[in-house]
Amino acid sequence: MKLELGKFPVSEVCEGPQTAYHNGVLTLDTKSLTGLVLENPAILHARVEIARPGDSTRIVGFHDIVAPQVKVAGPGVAYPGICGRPAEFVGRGRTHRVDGVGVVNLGDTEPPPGGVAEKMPQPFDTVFDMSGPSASIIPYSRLNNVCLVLNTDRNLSDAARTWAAEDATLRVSDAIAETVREATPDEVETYESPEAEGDLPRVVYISCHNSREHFADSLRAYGTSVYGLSRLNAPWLLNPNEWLDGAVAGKDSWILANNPVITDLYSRHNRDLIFAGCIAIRTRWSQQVEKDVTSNQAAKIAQQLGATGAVVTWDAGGNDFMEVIRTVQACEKVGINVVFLTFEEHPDNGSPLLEPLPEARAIVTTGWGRNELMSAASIPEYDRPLPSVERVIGRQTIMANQNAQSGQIDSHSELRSFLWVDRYGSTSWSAFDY
Amino acid sequence: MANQPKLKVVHFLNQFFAGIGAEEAANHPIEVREGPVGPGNAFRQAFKDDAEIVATIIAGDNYFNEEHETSVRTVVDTLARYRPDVVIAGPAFNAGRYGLSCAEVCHLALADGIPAVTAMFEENPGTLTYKREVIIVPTSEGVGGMPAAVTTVSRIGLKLARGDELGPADEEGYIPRGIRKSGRREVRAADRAIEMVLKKVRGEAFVTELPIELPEVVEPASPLTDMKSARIGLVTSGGLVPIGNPDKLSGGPSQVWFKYDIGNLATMEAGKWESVHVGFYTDVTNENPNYVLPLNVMRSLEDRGVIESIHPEYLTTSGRGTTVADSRRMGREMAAVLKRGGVDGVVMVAT
Repeated sequence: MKLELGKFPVSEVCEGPQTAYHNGVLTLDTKSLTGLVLENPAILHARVEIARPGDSTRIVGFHDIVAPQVKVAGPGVAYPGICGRPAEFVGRGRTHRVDGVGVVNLGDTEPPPGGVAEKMPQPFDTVFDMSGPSASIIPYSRLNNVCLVLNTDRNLSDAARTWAAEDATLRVSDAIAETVREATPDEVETYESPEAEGDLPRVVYISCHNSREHFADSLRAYGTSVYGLSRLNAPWLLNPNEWLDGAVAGKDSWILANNPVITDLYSRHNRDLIFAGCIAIRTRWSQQVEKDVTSNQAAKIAQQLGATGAVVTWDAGGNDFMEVIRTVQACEKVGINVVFLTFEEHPDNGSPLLEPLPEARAIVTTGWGRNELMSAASIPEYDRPLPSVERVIGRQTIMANQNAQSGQIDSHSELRSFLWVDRYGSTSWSAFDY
Repeated sequence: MANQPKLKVVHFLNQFFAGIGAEEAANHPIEVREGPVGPGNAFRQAFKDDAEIVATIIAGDNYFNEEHETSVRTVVDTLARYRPDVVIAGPAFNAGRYGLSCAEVCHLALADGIPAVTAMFEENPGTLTYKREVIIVPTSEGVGGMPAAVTTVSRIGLKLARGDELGPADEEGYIPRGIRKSGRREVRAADRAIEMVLKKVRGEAFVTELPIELPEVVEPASPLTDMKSARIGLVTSGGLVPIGNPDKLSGGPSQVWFKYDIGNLATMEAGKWESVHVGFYTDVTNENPNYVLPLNVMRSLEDRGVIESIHPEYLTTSGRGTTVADSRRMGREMAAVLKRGGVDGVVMVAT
């Protein structure tokens, strides 16, 4: 499968009379962009705000960040399957991407209804600043962010409101990407895999994605989806190019479409290794047997792909770790060399891994995310609070820390607490034994 | 350039390395000599003009243990007299008693605010006992590793004496103390993962960034031999509390637990209890709290004489994100209460 990815780097975003891309400058006709969004009666009010790297700006309560891209040749659409978009499989032909820009979904829904989500303090892991200490940690801080602040109709179900906000974000992303459909890109990257057989190690990428099925009364079920499906289901066999076209998206879509594991595997493809394919599994099954089946099937697919090596990532915490670590174990048991790319528990929590299994003997760690409870043993940049900011986009109040009993504070305030976990190896943050 | 004053080092040795004698001299009383002795001369060369060994404490391997109080006092007094910038001990290689006394001398120095470093074989009892507290450089089993040990110990010793912070264990060459700290590596994690997987596939050496420590295995108690005369306790990590949460149990992470009376109850009635746990969907358990505390089932076993009785209080906490240390402590506290209450067995409902 062959995909050409044409990139249009953006150095500046500003408002203008029309939405257009010219020589690295993206102008936005915010009135017509909001007009597009308001075509959906579920959206009552919409506003576009621009956040630039270096601004004293904080983005609070974002649901997703999308990389604007459009398919200009080959079947399907970018971000297929989501919100009813065509589900034809992607990864072929040519895609144009407006690079260095994120479209930020600042819908006003609370996270999924029921039990946990209602009680869990959510916003603290959905905050980032465009300057200050967190900007060196979070890749989103380095993007020109087109923030979409949305008010949805509260008479509708949570699922309908979530859908509307997601759909609105993709409409704006599409409109931005349209500006480069006919243009000639500065650079074109070609991705083709897998290639012919060879003696090189065959490496697969196994990504594990939390499903919120248990917590949501929606078919969409929220969170990261594959072609729009986010419920618990059997492992997926994906071509890496499908990732680049946004087939895996919904939460952290920008990072998923720019997944460094995939681009770095590709950069060594046919040279040091053969990128033999991607397997995406769902996590947070209820029963042990479900976890075991999922893990073992992932290993089986990897084996059928002829893999001798695998890189495993995951995007959740707690419960989900059981099937993730069992996937590592199952692969090792069939002779596939696994490297587990993971974040770790904070040292105060005891063991860095919830269930250390002896098969996890090759680990690359991105350290731990940070929040107030977890600041004791951290390093300088993590230790520093986020200074107060001039401007807030999104929620105007924020949960003071992870303790659900604590109150809300003004989002402009100094924050002693924010959380960002590097789940796909985008940064060089790590942890060491001392 | 004016000469910097040399950093002061106190060195600890056993009778053997001090050249006094082997096992027959193991009762040699503790003594203090000015300047370097034995391996101290190798350290002197390694330190060059940066540091000097001002005194050497020497003790027989048996003496240090048998006359422990005198030995400790001598070490403490010597450190007070010389006020060294760093204490070095050994290397002890695989000598067990020596390793222990080296580590203990370092420990005493640390308690006094003086940095310290020693060196010994990784399986030396001194390492096993003190690796969490003391900086220990791993050595060979036998004295063949002396030059390597001297190089590393003197480098680390100088850093400590200057008050510099030590880097990660594998970079500096000491045994990890069970401390994890954040920091940056050279390249991003995705790249490192691919580099590591290639090394692993090719059978080349690689170093994991997170060495696995397998969990402690708790031996289960032996099964009840006589259920009919057993008193059973009920414990839950489901965050189940009387409605309104009178004691304000946290939904997690919780560092406390509570006990509530169920002595006169036949079942856990909906509306009278609630789960405050924030790690699972609690609506179902709130509709029927017996799901996290199966009192109804246990009462029927009691009525049918399968068990003798149910302990009149249940114990509860929220098992979400609780640290291992807190879990261990709460487990001990709960076990003590149950034991005092004459409980023979426990139904533990995990969530």
